[in-house]
Amino acid sequence: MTGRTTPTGPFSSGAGAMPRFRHLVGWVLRGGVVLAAILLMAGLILAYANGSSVSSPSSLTRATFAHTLASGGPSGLLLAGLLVLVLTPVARVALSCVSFALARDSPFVAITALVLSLLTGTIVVGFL
Amino acid sequence: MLPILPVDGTLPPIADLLFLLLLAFAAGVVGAMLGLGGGLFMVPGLVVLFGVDIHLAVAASLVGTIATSCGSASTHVEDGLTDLRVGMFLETSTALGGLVGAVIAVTVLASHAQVLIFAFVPVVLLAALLMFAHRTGDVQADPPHDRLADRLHLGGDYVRRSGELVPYRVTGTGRGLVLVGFSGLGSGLLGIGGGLFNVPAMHSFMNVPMRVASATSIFMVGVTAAAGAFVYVVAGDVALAVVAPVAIGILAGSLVGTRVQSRASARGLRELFIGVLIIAAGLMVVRGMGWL
Repeated sequence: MTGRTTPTGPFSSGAGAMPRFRHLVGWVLRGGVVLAAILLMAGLILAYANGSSVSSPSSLTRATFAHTLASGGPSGLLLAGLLVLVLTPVARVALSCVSFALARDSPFVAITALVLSLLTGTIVVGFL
Repeated sequence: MLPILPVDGTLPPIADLLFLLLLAFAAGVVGAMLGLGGGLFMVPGLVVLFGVDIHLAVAASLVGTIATSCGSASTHVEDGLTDLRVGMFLETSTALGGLVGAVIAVTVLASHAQVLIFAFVPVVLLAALLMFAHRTGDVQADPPHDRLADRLHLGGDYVRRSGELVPYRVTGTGRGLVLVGFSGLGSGLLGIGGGLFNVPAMHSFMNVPMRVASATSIFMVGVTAAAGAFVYVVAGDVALAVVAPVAIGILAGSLVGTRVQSRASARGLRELFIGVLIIAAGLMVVRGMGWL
């Protein structure tokens, strides 16, 4: 508690620090980028193969989001890839929050919950 | 003649697409090596070399930053090089900064691209200065005690490449939080990732070893960039035909950069960091003055 010695809490860095949690975080991050990369590449290849254009920034609004996603096609794939990528850090923070709660580390539950609310707040406010 | 990327949804010619992928790849390599997130190169690259509107460039860069962060952090987290507690602690400040910066960019500065282009220069030069001012390479064995850091058990140890186990204790949480808040602001406003001030904040102010600071920064910037990216997505500043190749290229580059980083020396990394900053600032001056 005094901090005189090197603190080795369950989540501190270094060898032996919560390998299972680290493994889980690594897995979520990797899974997210791999899925996003597959979707983005598929969308891009499909767009070029069809020779079709994709949704322009001005046509991609809150109102057309769900429609673009549901339509599939190059724009839908690209948008899905984009959303998976943007949501990956959010998933990581949510996972951390749960893990800290399980470890009964209340200061860090509060910290990760605050970050999570900042991230999800934008989504909620933006789409209201 | 330099290409002007179409942003109305028309697909760029294959040659431009390949050039864009290559640029993003290079940004990813450097970004991952330095714990920056790639945006620092990507924004001037898109604006200067491809004539992309800065708002769209920033949005694409933020998405690319998330890709770099997730790709690179997944490796470092499992290696034990990332300080998860310090990272998540500082994310409160960077996420808030990222959010505020993006909101300012899409509202107040929506039609003031020039302001953003010029704002880029002092920000990156300041970061270079910060990095230059503190050249003490190693961590302090007994830094001043910081109540918050002690209470949150911030600190740890990491294994040097020589195999030696190096302990460190964190200090200066207040200064660190403020500085990374500006880093988040820069990320949201200018798409520069956010690693810009994270690394100096952790290394110079908080007594975190350089390589741990770099790995922790890359871990944090995904959250910082995501906070800003949502705002740009909602504001309709996302050009899919630009974002997709940027994300793919940066991701591939970051995987290479992460591998190189574990072999690079702390001093070499720092010199590369400063060099990259000065080049990026120079490019933006050229663009802002309309010389290109």
